[in-house]
Amino acid sequence: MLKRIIGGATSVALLAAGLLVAAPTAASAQTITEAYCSGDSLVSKTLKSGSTWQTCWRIDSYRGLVLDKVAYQPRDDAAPILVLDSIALAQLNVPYDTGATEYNDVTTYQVGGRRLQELTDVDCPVGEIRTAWVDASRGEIPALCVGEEDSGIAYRSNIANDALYAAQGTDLVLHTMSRIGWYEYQVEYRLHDDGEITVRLGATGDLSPNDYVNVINRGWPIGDGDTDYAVNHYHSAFWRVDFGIDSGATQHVQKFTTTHTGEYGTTGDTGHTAILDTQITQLATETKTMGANREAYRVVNPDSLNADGHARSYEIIVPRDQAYNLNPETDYDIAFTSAKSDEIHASYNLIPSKAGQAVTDYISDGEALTDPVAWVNVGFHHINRDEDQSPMPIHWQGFTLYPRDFAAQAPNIPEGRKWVNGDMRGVPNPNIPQPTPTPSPTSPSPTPTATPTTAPTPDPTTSPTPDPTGEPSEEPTPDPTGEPSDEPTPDPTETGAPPAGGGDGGADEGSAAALPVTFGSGDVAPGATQTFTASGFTPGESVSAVMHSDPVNVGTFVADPSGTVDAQFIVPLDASPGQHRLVLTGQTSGVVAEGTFAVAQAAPAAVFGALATTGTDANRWALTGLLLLAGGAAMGALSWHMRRQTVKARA
Amino acid sequence: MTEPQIPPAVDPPPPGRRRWLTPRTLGIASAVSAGAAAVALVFATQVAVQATSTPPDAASSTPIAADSTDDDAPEKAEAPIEPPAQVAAVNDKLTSSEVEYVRYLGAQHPDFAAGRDVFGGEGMQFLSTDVAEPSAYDDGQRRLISLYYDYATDETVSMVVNVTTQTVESVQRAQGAQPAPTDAETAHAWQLLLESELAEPIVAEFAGLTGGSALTTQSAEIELTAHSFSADAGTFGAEQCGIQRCVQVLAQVDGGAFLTTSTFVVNLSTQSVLPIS
Repeated sequence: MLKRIIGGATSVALLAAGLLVAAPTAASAQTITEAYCSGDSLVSKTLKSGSTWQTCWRIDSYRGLVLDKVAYQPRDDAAPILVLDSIALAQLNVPYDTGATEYNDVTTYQVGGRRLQELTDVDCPVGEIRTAWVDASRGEIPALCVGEEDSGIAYRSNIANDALYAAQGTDLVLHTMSRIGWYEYQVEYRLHDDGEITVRLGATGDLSPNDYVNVINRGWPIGDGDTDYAVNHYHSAFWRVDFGIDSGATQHVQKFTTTHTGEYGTTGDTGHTAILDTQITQLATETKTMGANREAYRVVNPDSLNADGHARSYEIIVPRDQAYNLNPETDYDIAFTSAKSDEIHASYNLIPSKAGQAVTDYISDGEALTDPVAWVNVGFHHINRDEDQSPMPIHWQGFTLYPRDFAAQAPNIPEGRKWVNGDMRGVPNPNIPQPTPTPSPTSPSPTPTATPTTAPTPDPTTSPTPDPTGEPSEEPTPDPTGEPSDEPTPDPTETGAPPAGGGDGGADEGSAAALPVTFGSGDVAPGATQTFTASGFTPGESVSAVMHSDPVNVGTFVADPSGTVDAQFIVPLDASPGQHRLVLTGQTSGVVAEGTFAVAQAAPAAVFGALATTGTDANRWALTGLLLLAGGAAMGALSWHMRRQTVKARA
Repeated sequence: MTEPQIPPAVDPPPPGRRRWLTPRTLGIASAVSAGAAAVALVFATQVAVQATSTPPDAASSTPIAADSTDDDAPEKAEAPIEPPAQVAAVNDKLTSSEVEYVRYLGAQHPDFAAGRDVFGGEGMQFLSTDVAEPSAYDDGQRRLISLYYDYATDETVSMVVNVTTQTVESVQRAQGAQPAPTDAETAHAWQLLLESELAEPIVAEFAGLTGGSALTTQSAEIELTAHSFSADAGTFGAEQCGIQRCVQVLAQVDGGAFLTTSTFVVNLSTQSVLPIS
């Protein structure tokens, strides 16, 4: 017994020491982004859903915030995959409708450099502020806000009736603030946990104090009655998007054109259900385009295939109705050029070898497109409002880069939906229990709950889950019909007033009287699958499952016809070892069930898996510390035990 | 007292156990483990903090002169400015020390001294330093690009400096590009404007806004910004701007109002003030 304890303590201590000694070799390989920037210039963030973004950032004097080597790692992929070589503002053209004034802010004023503003707490309520050297007189200033922000519902699916699969999403958001004259601009990149990238420019500050007219149809009266016509104007924001899909040497630009065949189908209640053909054609040479209805563009790496054998790509989604088509500098939605290091600005280019040139000049030689750069122009015609007076509410313009086949399934797919790939007709849903011949209302039916081995994508960190069907017999689930009497069934019209009549001893307990949860395994490692069962819910209701003490949503499930929830979830990789409480809440009945299970010390394989994912020294040190603590505690306990034995012997 | 006293002496090792395995040694080992754990956890915290926050870098916030025409500018340094102790990664953001070094090295190039600044003095007018477009190279070396304006030839000049090899790799020049003006160019344009006979309405406007103050280049109530100005087909009065270097100054008076300067352009190449419409 003693030997075993000592052996255990020793091996824990050795493992801790080994972790440190083996640190250099255990360190994960450098990612594509890490190869190009370091320290504070690197942003690396694993979002709550498990997907990761990495990017380099810097402040360019003219263009402001530049992101380089932007890479995305879908949750179940081994490493980040490059999406963009770089993205930045390329021009901001502001012509006033009177024709008297026009600005090109990026090249003639600067968006970075002396125009970049120091961020304050009000600019950055979520995340952290990082500094950048911006100009000689100010040196380093708080320049970038980077943080994870909630983005609302990420997905919601109830198609298979085995569970409501729903989750909230988050974005990694990077933004800066620049002041150019009376306008202030927020440049924002929103990297969604599902791989989408939203690129936006927000304009606030003040309307031009110099531009008022008495020509009624070129401005808007913002003073009393018919006075003070503030001049309407355009903001055309241009971004240079240098694609680097999976670091491809060759990438193609493809155009989707959906046209009406002229035919109509025979079904449909209007008789006007058109038959549409979508054709994909390749853009061979440089060009600029003004998008027509039902046209779309994507950049695809033909040599980078996802698990389904489909080529990875990103689609460019632009608003279609606002381009300023009255000037050859701005008369396109998207232009594609072959990447050139001296073609940086969309107009009034500052690099001497292409001095003063614009995109229209870049495309004039019609080069082949093998390393495409997209110039995305988003126009916004600002017809002023009374509300736009000081301080002007921020107004936004931007576009979206949308992953297409970057992952073979939804990048944040819940475990229970991994079996769905393609036409699922005729494929048995492994999550739906087989009908049991003798259903008994008082004990959970032995259900063939799916184990992770049925998932199409094997998860290397998943440890074998004990068969949950063996568990209920060891720990009989309390009779669900006996429980509700402890807690009155919530009345939907309840106003929160104390229950009438006596017996308020139970009312004091409030919601504390929870039903039990039975777990498939008392002890699971982070990243492994835990199964659980609880009864007493309203049949068919949605039941949310939240892991405490740090609340982590692990899923939303549906109670079966007997009011039982029998489901599974993946224990988050960052779950701390020790006891965790799972709280299930019926979303209709308000019935609460809860139980505790232990998260084990991560198995070595899982540890190294986690290290490979995060690649930070902090994890290694933290793990070493925890192991040392555990070893120390074991030895301390043993010491105490031996002393006690000695005292007992003396007494 | 009937409680048995526990002798403080070390117990003899119980039979069958190794001698070192006593409660005391285990206690000590436990304490050592706890101590080591504390150290490791502190390290973990520190590493995590360092990974997410700015490393203290005193050198990077050393102020340097914004304009090459300033007396303390790196372009005018008498003693050589040393390269940065640590060369940044290809796509890293700028550091003060490398900008200072790159400006100094650029000024040693013969093309620099041959040029003229906004005051007509020797040496080109420094405009900006940034990371040179990294996709142009694949050797992992750190390069910055400085832009200058040469008032002798009315050209924008770029110098790509390889920080890794400490050399100026390329110098290119062209007419027709007009990067944003510097603080010195802005201030000089403002001075030219105020000294011109066209300034009268601006002076009067300022007096009206401030209750009679005289407008001078020293007026503390004025905040200046400026943009480079290129003529287009609709501009009358400043047709050479774009080929020559012109700026338009915005002068904001304390309190928010802007003086009416949009009807003037200052041609810095010819040191003249032009009315435009």
